[in-house]
Amino acid sequence: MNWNNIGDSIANILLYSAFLYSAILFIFSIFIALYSVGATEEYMHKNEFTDYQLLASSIHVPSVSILAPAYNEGATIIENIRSLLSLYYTNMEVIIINDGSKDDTLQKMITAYQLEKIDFFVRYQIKTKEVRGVYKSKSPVYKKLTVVDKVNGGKADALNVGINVSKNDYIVCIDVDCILEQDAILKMIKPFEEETDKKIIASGGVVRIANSCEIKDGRLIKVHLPENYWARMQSLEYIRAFLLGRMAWARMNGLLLISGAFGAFNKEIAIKSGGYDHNTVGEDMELVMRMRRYMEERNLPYKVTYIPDPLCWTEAPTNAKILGRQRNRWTRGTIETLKFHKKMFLNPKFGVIGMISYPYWFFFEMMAPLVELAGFIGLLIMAFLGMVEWSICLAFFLFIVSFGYMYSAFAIYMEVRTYNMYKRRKDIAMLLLTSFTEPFFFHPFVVWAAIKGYVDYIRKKKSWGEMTRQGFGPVAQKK
Amino acid sequence: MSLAFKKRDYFMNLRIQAILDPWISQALIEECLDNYQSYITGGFLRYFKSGKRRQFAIDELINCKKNLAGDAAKNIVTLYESLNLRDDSIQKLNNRIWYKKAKGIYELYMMNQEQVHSEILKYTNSKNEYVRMEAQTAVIGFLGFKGLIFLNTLNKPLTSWQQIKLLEQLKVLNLIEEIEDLPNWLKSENDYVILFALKLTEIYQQMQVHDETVSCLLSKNENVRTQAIKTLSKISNEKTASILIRYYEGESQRNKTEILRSLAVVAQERELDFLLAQLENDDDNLKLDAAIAIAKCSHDGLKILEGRIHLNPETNNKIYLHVKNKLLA
Repeated sequence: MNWNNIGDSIANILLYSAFLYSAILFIFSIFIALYSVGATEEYMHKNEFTDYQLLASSIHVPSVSILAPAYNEGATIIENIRSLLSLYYTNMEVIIINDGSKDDTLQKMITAYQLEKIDFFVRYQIKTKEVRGVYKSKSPVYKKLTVVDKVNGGKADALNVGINVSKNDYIVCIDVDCILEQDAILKMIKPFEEETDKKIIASGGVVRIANSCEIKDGRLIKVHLPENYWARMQSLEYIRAFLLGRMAWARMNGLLLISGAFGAFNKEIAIKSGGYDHNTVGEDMELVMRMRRYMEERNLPYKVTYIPDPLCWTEAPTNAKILGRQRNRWTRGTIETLKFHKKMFLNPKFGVIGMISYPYWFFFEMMAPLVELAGFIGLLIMAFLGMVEWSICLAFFLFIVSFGYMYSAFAIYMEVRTYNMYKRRKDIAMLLLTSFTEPFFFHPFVVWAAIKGYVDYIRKKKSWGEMTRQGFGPVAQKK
Repeated sequence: MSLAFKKRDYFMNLRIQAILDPWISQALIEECLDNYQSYITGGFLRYFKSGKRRQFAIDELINCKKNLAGDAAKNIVTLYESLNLRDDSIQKLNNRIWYKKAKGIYELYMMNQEQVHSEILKYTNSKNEYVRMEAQTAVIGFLGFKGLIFLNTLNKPLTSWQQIKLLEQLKVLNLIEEIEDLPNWLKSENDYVILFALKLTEIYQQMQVHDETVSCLLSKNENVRTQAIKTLSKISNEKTASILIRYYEGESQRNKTEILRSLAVVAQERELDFLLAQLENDDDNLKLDAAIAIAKCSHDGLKILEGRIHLNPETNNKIYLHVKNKLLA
């Protein structure tokens, strides 16, 4: 056997491995796309004539605690709280957890909402950093509001404090700067109230991109497609992920991730599972996995649901620097979470989670950037050695790119067919055009950010990375 | 393409709305729409031959009726009937596809088509959850409290969501008598029926079923027991507190909390020893709920709590201040 033969064999192995990997990914993607259609349509039929208005004012709806951690949110916190307090739901409390902000977040809240420190016995059902004080408003107008001031400990710790302080059976964890639709809480709580033989332990909602949208007094007035390229690209990504991916995973009861920006949980199970883990930057996914694991290990029938209504609007990063930090963190969070729960990997005891969801996340979410990087380096080496059959390579590339376009186009079609948030033809055309740039610009960037995430993970970096936002307040609107 | 279809539908809806609006305006003005036939011209009927247009007309009339009452609402129903839209709804009711059937029931109920109530009653125990829900809503809509008759035969789940919906429907009706079948429902083999009956007991203060409610504390289903504890606090008599205490030890953590919360409402001085014993509990939640119950059931409750501060200064002081703050609030 000479060196040429060895080289050929290695090249063949790499080629067939890449082909197998891609083939499985394509099959999965097609399955997810088709499987999600049924789930979305069924959801829409089921909710066709639900009168949310009537039920939102009912005293019989379950009580809900909205938990919103705030860290250095002084610029927008007053507007954000106003938006939360205006949500259409009778039995709710809004708990803002000031996670040791270094700016004037707390003082602004005290002044604006006439807060006073009260005697409050905090039950540390989940271990957290120290609570410095609990505040309630002197004005009955803000009786739903509770503000907790605590020593800085990160988002997960702040949410755990919120769980400890909350008095209701269901918790809705949100990012304080998100804009929620008026009936968002009612729609999120509905799946819990529809449980029969399986306990609903968590429910996720769709998060949409609010950049360029018209927002007034903390409410979404009109939806526009983001003008900024990065944000527009993320709009497409979110439509694909939320409308196709998560609906399909939820339908097969294999959903592993509920966005930290907007998710509802059964408090009892969240506490029994140990609450949010502050040792990971992917605390949202980790909690869902741990709650699932808790139920699976006890053989308790359960379900994690997902609703496709666009209920939560968030500001997406508008430049490469911030987006890179976000994707870096997501990668680290995924690695950490999957590592914590490696026991579930291909373990039939954990059913769909162990045999399908976890392996999918491992191979096609966590490993994907590495596989792509390895493929690219392999291609360069083979090109250098003159071993590349360029016509096949080009055909393969065209196939992948076309498949990506088709997948994006299908997601856009589903969006138009179902919720149709972007009503202008121009917006839809723009979204399609944006998708054309994805394989050449956005996707390589995201892969690169993920690779940096791997490097930071190896370096044991635990920080979130600063996430500067412009906000939706009047000042931000003028910008 | 999909966007183009949506746009086409949008403009068609606008056209239909323009045609229907004068009708609806007339319906709102006139006390009784006796001369409705004069509005129905050949062209009008021809326009409403298409299924899609007819469906839009039904949706439009339903939306309109939701916000109306009295004669105006009756006139909307007259319009619905005069356009023979009822036949469309009946067709949907007879359709095999679940969501069409559910929609048919919904339309008939919204348009007060009471004559089909016996037909709809059959579906209150349907295998399909959504058909079942709509049928139950319709029957209550037609018959009021008498519509609860479906609980006698229901052997399928009645979700909490549906229970809320039914309770909201019943809220607007005046209940003057006792709910006759309540004792039977509280003994039902279907836990969902028991849960709903317990809620009815609580809301409508059906004191006559106190004993049956107490029997529910023996249920294997934790949710039934939880609801029974809540209900008992609303229909309590002098024995209720001691009954709840009797069941306390054997209960789950969640229900222990619920019992302590109920005791805060129904307990008297004689339950003080039991409540004081709970202050020794390791669980802070139970400790706090017991403290609240003590403060509420005894005149000297707060003093008692204050007097216990020295036993465990850090925790007991916080509990005392928390309870004091809560009572003052």
